[in-house]
Amino acid sequence: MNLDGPLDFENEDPLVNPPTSVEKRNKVIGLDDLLSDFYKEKSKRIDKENRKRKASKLYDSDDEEHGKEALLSIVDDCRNQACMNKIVGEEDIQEWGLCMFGDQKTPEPSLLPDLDNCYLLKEFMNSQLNSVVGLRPDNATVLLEGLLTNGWLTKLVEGAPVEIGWLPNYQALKEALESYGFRINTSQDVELAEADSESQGPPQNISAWLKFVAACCQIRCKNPLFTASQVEQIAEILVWLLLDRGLQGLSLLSQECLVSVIGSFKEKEWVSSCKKIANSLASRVPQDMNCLRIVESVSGVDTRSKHLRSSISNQMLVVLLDHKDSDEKLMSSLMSINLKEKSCNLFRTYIFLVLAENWLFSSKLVEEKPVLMEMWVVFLRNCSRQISSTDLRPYASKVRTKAAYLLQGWRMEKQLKF
Amino acid sequence: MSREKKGNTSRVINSYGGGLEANTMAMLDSSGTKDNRDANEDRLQYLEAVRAASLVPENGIPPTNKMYQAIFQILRFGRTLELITASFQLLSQLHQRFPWVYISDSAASGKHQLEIVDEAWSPFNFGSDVDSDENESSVRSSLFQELIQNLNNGVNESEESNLKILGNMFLFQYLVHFLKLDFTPRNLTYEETMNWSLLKESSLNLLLASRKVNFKLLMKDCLSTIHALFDADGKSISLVELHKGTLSAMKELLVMIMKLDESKKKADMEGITTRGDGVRTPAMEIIVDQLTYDGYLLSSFLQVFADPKLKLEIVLQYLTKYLPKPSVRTRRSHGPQAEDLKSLNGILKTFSNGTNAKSIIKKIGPDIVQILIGHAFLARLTIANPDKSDSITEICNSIISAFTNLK
Repeated sequence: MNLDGPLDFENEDPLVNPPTSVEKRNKVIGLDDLLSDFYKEKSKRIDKENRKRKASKLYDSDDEEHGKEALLSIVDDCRNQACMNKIVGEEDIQEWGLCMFGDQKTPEPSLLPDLDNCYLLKEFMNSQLNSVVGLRPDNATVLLEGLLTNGWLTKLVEGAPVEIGWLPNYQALKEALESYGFRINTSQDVELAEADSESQGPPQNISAWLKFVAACCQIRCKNPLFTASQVEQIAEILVWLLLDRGLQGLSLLSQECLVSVIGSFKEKEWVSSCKKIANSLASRVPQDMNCLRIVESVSGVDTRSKHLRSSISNQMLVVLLDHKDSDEKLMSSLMSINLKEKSCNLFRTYIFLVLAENWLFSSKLVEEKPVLMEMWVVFLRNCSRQISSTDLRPYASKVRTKAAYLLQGWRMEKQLKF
Repeated sequence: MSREKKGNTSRVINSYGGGLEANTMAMLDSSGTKDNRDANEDRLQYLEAVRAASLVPENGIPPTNKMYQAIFQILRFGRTLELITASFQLLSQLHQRFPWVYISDSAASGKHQLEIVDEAWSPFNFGSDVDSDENESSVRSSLFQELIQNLNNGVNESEESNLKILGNMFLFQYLVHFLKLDFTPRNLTYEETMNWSLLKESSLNLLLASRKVNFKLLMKDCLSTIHALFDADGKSISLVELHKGTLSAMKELLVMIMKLDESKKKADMEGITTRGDGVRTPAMEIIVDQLTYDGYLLSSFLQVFADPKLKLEIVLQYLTKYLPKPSVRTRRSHGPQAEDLKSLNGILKTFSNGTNAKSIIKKIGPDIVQILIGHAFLARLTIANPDKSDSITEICNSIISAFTNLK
């Protein structure tokens, strides 16, 4: 048992085990392997047989042919892989990622307060104790910085009423981000990230920026540093940051920050602000995998982020389908997509599918309008029936499998209700 | 099985869970035959599907253990940063939504009740060595120790192994997070009820009780890791942030172990432990020894270890080792709070005596003495409810005279 030990599925990952001739043979008969593995797996755990049987029964017992279909789709995938091994995978998969940072600018000179007249320091310099510390006018800044970063300053002022004379406003925060190289006017110069472009990226400070913004928003009910429209812009900026792969290590921090930011709207501000954020993002994000990434980067765990997730998905669909009418009309245009048509862009359909799922189910929309649920099911059926298992178009199997999965989930939930 | 008694609803939910399991797990089934990027796509889709089923709906149902295990496998073995962060985040959110150990407020008795979910999933496996395949990817005690060693060794390695290092840090942070979620409610309830078995069965205790763990070595590895990770200059943004997170997890781990030690000691004194509970040198003792032995570890440790009460105690134990005996009136350690705090002032006073100060400086050097006193003072200022008898003014005066003598 060691950390580097491969996981079962990893054995077949080309990066871990470069394919040898044996592996190649395996790939050709992969279909049989997979099926036998599937059944082996099924019969293996006798102790769990009861539960297992129930589970697979549910999985198989389908009112239509779809249960079998879902199972067979594994087989299809496998067959596709076996004969299409070279073609599939090259052009097929797109990835998200934007380059949000250009060159860093020289930062604004920091505000140096006039320490010469600081009463506290003056008094200390004149006291006998200064022989221990050695405080002079020229090293006072260093001393204060040290006190701050090592946690002394907060202790020294603890309990005493402190008035903070200066806090950065929205403008200052924005300028800071710009000096990090952030492309604030994303509408024009958003760039798709290229593997070979060596962007410098932002300085490490950006994590402090994020924490500061989160803190300002957490106290917004008591001390509103930003207006509602400024908070909207901050929320947008955070979503853009989440699209930069160079900042993936900060994604948890950025997402927490986003939760604080959208949590800081007053109840009466929220509905219109949420819509504005969604509108603005949807009109500016590139119409590729990035538009799915912006949806998924909103955590969707608390009520507000669910709402935002749903709104962005909805606005994205409105933009993509060039549609401004009712929800029902939006759904019906999804339903009327002819997937059999050779020219049908299945990549776009895949995006529609994911967006519609997030739009409908990150909100209470289908509870309020049951008809949308019915239309959704029709759309799913279309996706899983109109695309044949041998369809070799890019994204065909992705659309099909995803739809089959969602359909299956819908069926299970229906059973649960009765 | 107690679950089956709960009747129809739970059976339906169970079968729904089973169906969900089969349906979502199917996404991963075909991964093996696909090319790398496709397989990664599938794993991401799987994570999104679990999120959509369990977290997004208000009445979402928890993933089955098998589904949890699959998420954990992605965290452990995922080979893109996206997969690792996504699985890490999903697991944290799932634990928050579906805790397996928690305190419920029973209005009737006004007392807190500890609820423990039966057969809940755990990333750890403390069972016997021979087990089914399913446990293959669970973390055993020895692996946990190995992981910490890897964190320590990996710091200066090339960029190529970057992802492996990042992955290890995420894994470590997650495991500590899990241990804490498991330990904290148990320890709180133990303090109220003195029910030792709650702590005895905590994952943390099981982890450390394993004969496969060399506890002393584990503590030493923790200290070296803190030292190694502390200086993150010149690293990428992702790494810097992860270093911080890992250091904070390391601190959490050490604090938890020390709290477990404290609780165990209480239980020992009450006579409610048995011989089967074993004997272990308290973590604090090992840490103090190690810090006195390897002075270079001291500064980074004190900066990372931000628990004021325990930190103060560590510094006091450290200094006590070098103080001339007669001036120490309190017992060496583990005394109640009031006595410890008194001894900070007591210890400081010995420095105002020039000869004492000189002899201590000779033994441990002026730099280290200053670091120790500085941290002890800051910790004392941070403690929420310090003993009133140990007045700040007095401590300040002692510190001034101590520093004057150290000059």
